[in-house]
Amino acid sequence: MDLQYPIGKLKRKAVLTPDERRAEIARIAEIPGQMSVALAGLTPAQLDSPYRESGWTVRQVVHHLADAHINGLIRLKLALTEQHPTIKPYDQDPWSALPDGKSAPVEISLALLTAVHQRMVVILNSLKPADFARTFEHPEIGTVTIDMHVGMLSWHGRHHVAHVASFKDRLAGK
Amino acid sequence: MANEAAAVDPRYPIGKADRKPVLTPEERRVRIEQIAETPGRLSVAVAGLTPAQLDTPYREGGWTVRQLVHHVADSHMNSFVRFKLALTEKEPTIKPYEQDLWAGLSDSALPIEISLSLLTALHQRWVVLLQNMKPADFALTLRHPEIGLITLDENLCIYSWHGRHHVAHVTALRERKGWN
Repeated sequence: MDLQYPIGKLKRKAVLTPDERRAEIARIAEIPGQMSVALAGLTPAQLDSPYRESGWTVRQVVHHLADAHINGLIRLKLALTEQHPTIKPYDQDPWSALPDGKSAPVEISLALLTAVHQRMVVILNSLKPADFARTFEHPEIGTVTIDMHVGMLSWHGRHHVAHVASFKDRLAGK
Repeated sequence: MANEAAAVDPRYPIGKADRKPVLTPEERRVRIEQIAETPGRLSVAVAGLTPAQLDTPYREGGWTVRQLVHHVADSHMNSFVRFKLALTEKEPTIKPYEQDLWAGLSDSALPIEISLSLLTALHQRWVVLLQNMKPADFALTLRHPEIGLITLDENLCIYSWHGRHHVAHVTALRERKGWN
């Protein structure tokens, strides 16, 4: 198993079918609960262990996921309220090295992620099919449709849940 | 009368933000404390309001109490991101947002508990970040495309005010309406 890409790499799709969209939104809704299950029972020392050699600690992964999806909610709202806005990317490694990402209890970011996803899912469920073709400009990736953004958020959440789940499996000798 | 009217301007119940580009350590400590207290104060301010009361504009032509709670969460998520950008990049240009259009999106109709919980968790992380910043970090800057350069000290002034500003909107409405 590839420890860095346990669910494979992201495949970006600019347009989703209604079924694909429904499935991705349902996955986004499940991510906070799945992360909570993946974290259950880990000790503070285990939370402060890298999930793979030279990777972030489990704690950093959880805080990173909240950071990333705060940015994800902001980008979604920008795309819905402006015509093709250029969003501000962020430098995820230095963000993860900031004190809150390194040391805060993971429960804080689980609560944050839960609320951010609730707001995200309500917005996504209220959109008309045409809204999913709205776009933002990512300075490094280029044009991103809301469909593509939904696929990215779903993959990204499951990617990090799988990091924590596979770390726990390895601890248990599985 | 004019003075009295100005004193109770429903838009600015605690006055406008005091924007200081440089704070003393004591001024900083007070503002970080205010940020730490904001989610709890907002929860107290909205406690016991009925759904119909939550859907009442806090002033004529203004947002409803519900929109206001979701707006504080939106605004402070953006602010948290801006602090982190300024701490990890050299003078980043941040992305402003259209707050009125954001408040019109469907998530602003959600139960307020979601944004109260969001705000509680967000402020916990924000306060850990602020308490661990070195004095020199507060001189770091970001560029707001419409306002110009802003130091993190000034941003701390703006957001410690911003939370209290909206809490005061709710408490002033409750007093006017007798919803106590």
